[in-house]
Amino acid sequence: MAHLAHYREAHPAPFRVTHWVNLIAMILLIVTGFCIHFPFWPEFMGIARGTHIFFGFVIFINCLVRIVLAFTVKSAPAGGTRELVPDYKTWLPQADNKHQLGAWIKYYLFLKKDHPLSAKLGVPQKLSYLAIPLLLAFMFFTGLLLWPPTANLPMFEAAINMMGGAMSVRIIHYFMMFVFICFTMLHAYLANIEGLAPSKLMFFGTEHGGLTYDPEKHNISGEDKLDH
Amino acid sequence: MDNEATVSEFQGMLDARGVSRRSFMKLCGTLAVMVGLGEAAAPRVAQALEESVIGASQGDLYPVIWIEGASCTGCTEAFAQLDAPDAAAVVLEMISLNYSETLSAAAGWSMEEAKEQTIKAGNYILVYEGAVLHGWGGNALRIAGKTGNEHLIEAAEHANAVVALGSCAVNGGWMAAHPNPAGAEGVQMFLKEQGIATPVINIPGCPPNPEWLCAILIDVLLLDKLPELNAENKPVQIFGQTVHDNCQRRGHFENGEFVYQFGSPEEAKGYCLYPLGCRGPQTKANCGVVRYNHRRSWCVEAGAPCIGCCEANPENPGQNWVEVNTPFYKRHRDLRIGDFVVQPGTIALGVTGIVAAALVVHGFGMKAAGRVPKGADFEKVRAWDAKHPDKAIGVYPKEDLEAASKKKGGNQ
Repeated sequence: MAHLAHYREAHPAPFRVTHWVNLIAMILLIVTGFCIHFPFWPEFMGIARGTHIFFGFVIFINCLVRIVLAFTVKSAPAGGTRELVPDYKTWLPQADNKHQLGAWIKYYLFLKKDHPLSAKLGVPQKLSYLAIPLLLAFMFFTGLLLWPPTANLPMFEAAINMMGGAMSVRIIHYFMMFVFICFTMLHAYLANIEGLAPSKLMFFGTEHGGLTYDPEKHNISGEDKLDH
Repeated sequence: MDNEATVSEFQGMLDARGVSRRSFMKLCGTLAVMVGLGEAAAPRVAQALEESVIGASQGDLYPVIWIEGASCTGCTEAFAQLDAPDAAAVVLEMISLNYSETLSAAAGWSMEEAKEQTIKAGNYILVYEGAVLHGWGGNALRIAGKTGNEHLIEAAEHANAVVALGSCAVNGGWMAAHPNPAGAEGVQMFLKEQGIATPVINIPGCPPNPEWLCAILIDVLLLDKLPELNAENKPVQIFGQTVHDNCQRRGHFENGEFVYQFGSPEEAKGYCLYPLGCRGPQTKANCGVVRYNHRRSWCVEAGAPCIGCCEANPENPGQNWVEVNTPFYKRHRDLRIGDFVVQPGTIALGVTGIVAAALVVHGFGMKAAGRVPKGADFEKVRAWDAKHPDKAIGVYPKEDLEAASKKKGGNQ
């Protein structure tokens, strides 16, 4: 058994909801975004525009909600444990991850055979997840620069010019979408390549037995087959 | 005679030119609408015209100098098509066009002298058409023994205001597009560099609609004020909304009815030109309201997607409408790396394809390494901890730590 046990404490219900919202909003934003860029399906254009703007706000507000929840909801600092800490701590550097960036990179480049020990989020994972709110905020901002009701505000007009005009903003917004597409591909791949248990837990709250982890000792402490 | 209505001197002037009071009031109505006052303000305009412009009381018409920089004269040509009032009426009766390379009857030395005298007398407006070329010490353009730059500096320094007419005058326009060897830029930026504080009114367009210039002249001449300008010194009333906002094909956009190919049945139906690269949604100008060629038609009405000729950031010659909008029929501009151009979509899809392919290859690697679906076994000791047992993060069984420390480089 090479997996840590997947306990609900890793992803409490509120975070499973925000993750669902993210997934749905992201898919709809990407599909409608492509349609707005070029109306492949002309009849869908009006719906696509409305949907895109609505879910643009949804995903941004969801991001803010998730940040607030990080300070109000507790979650497990690592896989394989039911212990709880304030969630925001699992986003900051943790002792479990110290010096492990190289180990993770080596592991995925097949230069290291065994699985690095880690907090709930591995180092590259944590770095990329932390970048997401920033990217999302920037994406939301460029979206507002392209949406007439906000694009015409003097402050936003100045920002458009700073970026080299509306065409440049459009291209930045377009490139950013592919950053999200690439992130989502990597994210889905890395989450599921060693088994679907992480997805089952994140989407449906399904627990899965495995090794247990002691956050005090930062090490594997035993095994829980969940056969109770 | 007491029992006869007196005809004013002004009325006499109109009569002498064969202009009836009715047609004069009609002109005033048009002018009032042009400056955004509404037709009801026609009497106000008539009074202003009578009192100052036509010269009934003051005698002098407002002097205007019209200089061409690096221009194709298209802006002058467009202005010459003005019909209400017609260009001749503007040039001869509303302003005193003391210098214009194209419209003045005279030419050569006497014209240059007329310009010098006008500048010396002051209280005039400068209309500048074309880009400012500061490359090669300004020698890309020489007129009457001096560089174009010198002419602009002299005329702008003493002007009440400079009207930068056309996208080239606003920020270099297509002159400033890559590779821009002559160093084209706009009037506002050039004057700023020269430390000249004369206010600049930017009227982009290639060419600008003649009615825009007329509206500005009327503002300045009749109402004795500069029009309301935005942060880019463009008149808000003209450049405040996008072409898309006021497009007559907007309904088709909303319905999802698009033209994908020229010569198609959709084109015949007059559908929206968005998929053919129309720049209406990002170009600010009231083309669809004012229209062109005596308000007969305009680009989109004629079936051509907007190519964004009014896009011109006065502070950034690189943000000229050609650089920003070509190729016109694509939804995106080309990105330029030296002389190599590429569409953003090619880069984005290329990178995404590479990432996807890399993941597939990596997936086979993970399978070959036996990590699918269960993952590799966990390391017993963190690699760094094994090398630095005294500073180890984890608490490990003694034998694990010793075993790992003995192996060079930890649990590799």
